[in-house]
Amino acid sequence: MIELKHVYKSFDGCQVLNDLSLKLVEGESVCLFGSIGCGKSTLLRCLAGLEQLDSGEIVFSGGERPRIGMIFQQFNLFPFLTVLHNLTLAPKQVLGMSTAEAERIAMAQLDSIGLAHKSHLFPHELSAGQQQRVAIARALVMKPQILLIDEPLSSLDPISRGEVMDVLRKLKSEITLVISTHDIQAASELADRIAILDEGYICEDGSVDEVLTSPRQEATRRLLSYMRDLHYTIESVQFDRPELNSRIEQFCSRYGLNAKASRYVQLVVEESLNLVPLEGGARLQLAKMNDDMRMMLDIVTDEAGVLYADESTCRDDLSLSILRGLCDVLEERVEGSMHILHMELSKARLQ
Amino acid sequence: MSYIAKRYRRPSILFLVLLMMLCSCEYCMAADAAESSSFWSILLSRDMWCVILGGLKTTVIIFFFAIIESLLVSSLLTYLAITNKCQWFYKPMHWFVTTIRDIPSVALMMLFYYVIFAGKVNGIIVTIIAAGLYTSGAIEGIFTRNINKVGKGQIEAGRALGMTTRQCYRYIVLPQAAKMMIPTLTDQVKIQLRITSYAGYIAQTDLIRAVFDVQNIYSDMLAPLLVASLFYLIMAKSIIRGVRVITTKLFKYD
Amino acid sequence: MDITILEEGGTTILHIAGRLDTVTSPELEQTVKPLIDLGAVVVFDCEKMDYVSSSGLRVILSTYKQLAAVGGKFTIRNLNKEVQSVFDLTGFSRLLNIE
Repeated sequence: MIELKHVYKSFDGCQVLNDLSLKLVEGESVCLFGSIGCGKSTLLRCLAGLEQLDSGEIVFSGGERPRIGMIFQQFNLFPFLTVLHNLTLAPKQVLGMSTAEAERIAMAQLDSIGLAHKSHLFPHELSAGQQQRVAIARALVMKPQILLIDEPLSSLDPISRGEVMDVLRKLKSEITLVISTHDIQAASELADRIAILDEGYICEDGSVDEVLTSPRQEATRRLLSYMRDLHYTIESVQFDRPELNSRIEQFCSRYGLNAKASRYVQLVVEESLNLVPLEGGARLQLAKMNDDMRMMLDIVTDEAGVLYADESTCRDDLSLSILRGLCDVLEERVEGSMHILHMELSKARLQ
Repeated sequence: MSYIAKRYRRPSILFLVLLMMLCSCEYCMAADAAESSSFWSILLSRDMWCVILGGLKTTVIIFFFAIIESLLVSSLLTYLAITNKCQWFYKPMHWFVTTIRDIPSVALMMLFYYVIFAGKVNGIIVTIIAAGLYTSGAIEGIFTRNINKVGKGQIEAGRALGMTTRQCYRYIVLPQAAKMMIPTLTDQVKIQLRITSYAGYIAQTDLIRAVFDVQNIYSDMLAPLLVASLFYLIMAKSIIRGVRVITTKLFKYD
Repeated sequence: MDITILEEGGTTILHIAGRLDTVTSPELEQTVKPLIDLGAVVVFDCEKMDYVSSSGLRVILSTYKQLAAVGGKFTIRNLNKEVQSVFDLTGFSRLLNIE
């Protein structure tokens, strides 16, 4: 349906799309997966015609550009128009529909997403999830053949995510979708095919199962590990502890762990950070080890010297005694210039 | 009572009460009864009204055409600024209309009449040209600032829905920008009205000049000054109402 | 963390709700300071406290020691299972009067 061939795009000297090639097939749901800033949004904007390519081409089958709709991360609803008028503006101005016809189609679309009763409200009177659903409905009234969706869930709280995921799941079977996201769970639920973007090009492209469970490329493995695990960099003693706790909570809920398990992990992290010197900074990595829900926590500092997990040299014996009681494994090792405090928590402790 | 009469009833009554109080004071302070009756005789004299209404006509003509000119020039400059077209014309013109605002409008008017046009062009036309250019820089700034306040994301959403850039500006950007610019635009239009009063400096009989002409005839300024002030008040109120009605009706979503 | 202070028959009861960790323990310390008085009886009711770390334990230990020094009495009550386990790990449950 659409083929991108050796596409290049840069902004102010920064190469965003770098010899990117991709094929989109009708009826398929493709996920563009990658870390933040890897070029997913730029690729979608080029497909939608909002950006001009520096070089390369976008080829449409049959020579004719299909009708392409786009949904934005920030919704981009028209704030001065009601929900109904947001949906009727384009059909009236672009398709030349009458007001009555446009309103009939708009109300039918709003009804299908469960928001017909909100048609008279303005966007600021809706929740984030409702706004995103209205944005989807607004794109759908123009009957696009391809729908481009840029990070549909990133601005949403968990409840709104659920609402929007319901709508997107329904759409998956009805229309060709191209979704950009850095959310692994959304990618695995919504896509038939996943294309991994790294440094401006597609490093791997295949079915969701293949790419997520058995990635062939090192770049993909590295990216998936980065996205799955929690990585947190601490720059000094005064770091944002509530933010770290919140990230730990999100990480645990991603794997279906309850609040009690999340607090357990937070306590392990807090006590282990009391053992290591933070003045020079530290890096924290929290990962799920295998299907058995075993968690691994590594705290890496560049400080050589004393042992952190030894009673005679530790900085805080109270924290050490708590950690010894909470963890199955507590060990430290030195790898080159790095000092690693390694902990493991079994499934039993987290349930 | 009609809508307009209702709306202006309170200020009109207030004005008449003020007028009567002033006249009473005039009567009480008069050396003799003859002096106090001169105010009413001037107010009711045909000659005064002929001169005043002549000045009013000049003021309205200058104001009307100057504001049209101002809006056309500023719209053109705004269009060129947004689309980045014809920069060879935009940059010098933009510099010119923003720089002349640093010159007092009286001096500008005299510069145009006595220097640029060497006194050879009709004074009303010169006033229109000078006054129009004087406010076009400010109005261009108002247009550009308020248009840029509307998020670029909305234009992109419009384009993603298949609308052309022109349609995006017409149906998405301008309705929002118009609403935001009403207060500042109204102020600039009122400034335009005030600038017309400087036409007297280049020998044109606008409303203020007419007041002086009546004074020359009757050696009294009170009556014509009060009448001229009332006319300016009515025009200013009309401007406020007019700008609001025009901008909202022009960009109303139907 | 929320702290509610109630007086009941000469006993000062502090109802602690939420987390007692590195961020919130200074607040508890400041709240407790003016209560340390000759013969004071202080109770921490931890029914709604769902998290305690070593920082919180230090404030609790410090409160216990200060009250002991002025002949006061310190009790902790209504610990939930998670918080109790932390007290057990550190030996605090043997040291303190827990109800």
